[in-house]
Amino acid sequence: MTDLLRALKGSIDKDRPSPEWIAALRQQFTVENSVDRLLTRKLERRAGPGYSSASLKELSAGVAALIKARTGNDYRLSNERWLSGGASKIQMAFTLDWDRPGVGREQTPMVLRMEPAESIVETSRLREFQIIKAMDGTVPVPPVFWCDEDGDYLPYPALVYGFAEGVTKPSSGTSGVSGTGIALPEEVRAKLAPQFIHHLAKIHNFDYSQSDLSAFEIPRPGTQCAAWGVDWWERVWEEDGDEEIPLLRIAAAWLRRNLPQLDKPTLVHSDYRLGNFLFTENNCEITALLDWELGRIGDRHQDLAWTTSKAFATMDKTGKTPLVCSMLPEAEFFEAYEQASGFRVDPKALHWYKVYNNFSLAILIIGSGYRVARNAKTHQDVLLSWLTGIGYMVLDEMRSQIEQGI
Amino acid sequence: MQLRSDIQLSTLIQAMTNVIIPAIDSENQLAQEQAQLMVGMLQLMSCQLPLQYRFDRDELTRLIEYSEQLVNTGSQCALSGNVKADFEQLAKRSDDSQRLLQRCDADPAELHTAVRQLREDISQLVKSVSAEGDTDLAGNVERVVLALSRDQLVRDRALLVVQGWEPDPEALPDINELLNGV
Repeated sequence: MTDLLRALKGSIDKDRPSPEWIAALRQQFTVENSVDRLLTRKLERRAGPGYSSASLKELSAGVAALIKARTGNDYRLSNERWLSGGASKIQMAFTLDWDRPGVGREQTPMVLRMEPAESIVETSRLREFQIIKAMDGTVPVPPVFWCDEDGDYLPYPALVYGFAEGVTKPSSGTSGVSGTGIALPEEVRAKLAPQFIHHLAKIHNFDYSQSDLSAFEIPRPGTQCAAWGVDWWERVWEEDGDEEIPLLRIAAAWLRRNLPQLDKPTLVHSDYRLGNFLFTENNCEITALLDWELGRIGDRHQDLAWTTSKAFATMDKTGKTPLVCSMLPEAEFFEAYEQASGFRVDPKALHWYKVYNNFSLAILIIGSGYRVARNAKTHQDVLLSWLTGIGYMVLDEMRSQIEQGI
Repeated sequence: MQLRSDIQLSTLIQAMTNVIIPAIDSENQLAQEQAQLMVGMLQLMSCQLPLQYRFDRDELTRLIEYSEQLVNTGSQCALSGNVKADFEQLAKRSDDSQRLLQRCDADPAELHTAVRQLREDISQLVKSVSAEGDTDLAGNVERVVLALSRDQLVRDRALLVVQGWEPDPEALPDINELLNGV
């Protein structure tokens, strides 16, 4: 902690952040510029009003203004309706009748994805827009059309993308809230697993040098990527956390002491798991990889550690072996990934990112989820409050991982 | 424990008010009325819960005081049979309650504040030692905090097991057993 941050201790009101405290946080933690901007914006807006629910009519008018600014007057919106799903964003489906460039007159099903007043995970719509555009043609993603980066047309920053067909879980299956705990039937597993691994390998092998990823910074080989990550999430904990958790401070120190070397900066999805892609129920084809908002240029082990997290696993029929994202045992997953990607899985880097992912997940769930719900900043505050409970399992898993690493 | 009744109740009231009640069929009077009653009851709970312990302590204080007065009235008379037995029972219960009351001196809010302050001080110590302390000291602090976390997190998880997150809930001890020593 810098002297300035320590000096301010005792006078900090996290619900009404002072400019001095914001400046001290920015000085203390080194993160990508676009991450710094969005975290700063979050604090500057925190004392403002809570989430105010917009009607479909209001959102439709905002989308119309955005489309008009980007394409002109020749369009018509219809069939606006709410979409559920996701703990962090507001989603409205609609149909756009328009002259689509390169296609002609078309009625395109679309989705508006808009932030609430403050999100459990504060991310940049521009980064999300750029990364989905970049991945189009490499892996299945929904087409992304327009970005209202600063909420100039809609109540809050938003993206408009094409509606992708498919389901996130079998209609006959079971799951918990927010896409966790999905159990796949055996015949579905067998069909999805090879595609799931193949697409992850494609993401990690993607040559991003020709893509417009101006909102991203490329970490230097070495420890910069990992250090940015630890600073990002410890800053979020300082900004959002309420009741202190000494274990999180131990974890931050452990992560800094053991920063892994980045061999090759790759595109990282950062939330690659069951529940974050769509597939067709009739033939189990993956049609769209979703939720790219935490994507970054970084270390592939971040994805590998996340995907293999126990939080997204279910047990096999013997009840003894956890299946990665309810698909296949971890050893088989890594073997197939190495074959598909040509990359080696480094157990040390993997272990570090397992600790890192639990560190960030616990901060997000217990810290940001609480702060956002307390200040009534979203349409789903009761869900965020409910999700806080999973944070203690995540923390305990992280504790055990740190003990393994000592 | 961050997931406490204050945040649970405030978000429940918000969900009921902003999302659920507007979606209830306006022709369904019974559902409309019961939804409003739910909000009212949740609001009542959010007012009552912080006061409940003090309220009960206050009531017990008064009951003891008046029980002692009643016992005094009996002591001035010659008693027998059921009346004598009931006076003796009241005197004993009043003494027991007085001893209990002495053990309930602190308010739950004071207890919670003490928990938060110690969590904060330990976290601050970890940060300072990690940044400025020597390696041996940092290692020792880390071992102690990991042990503390292990003991606390099993209780946190056991308290929340009914939420259904745990892949193997049977492996967790019962929260009542874990709290038995207190």
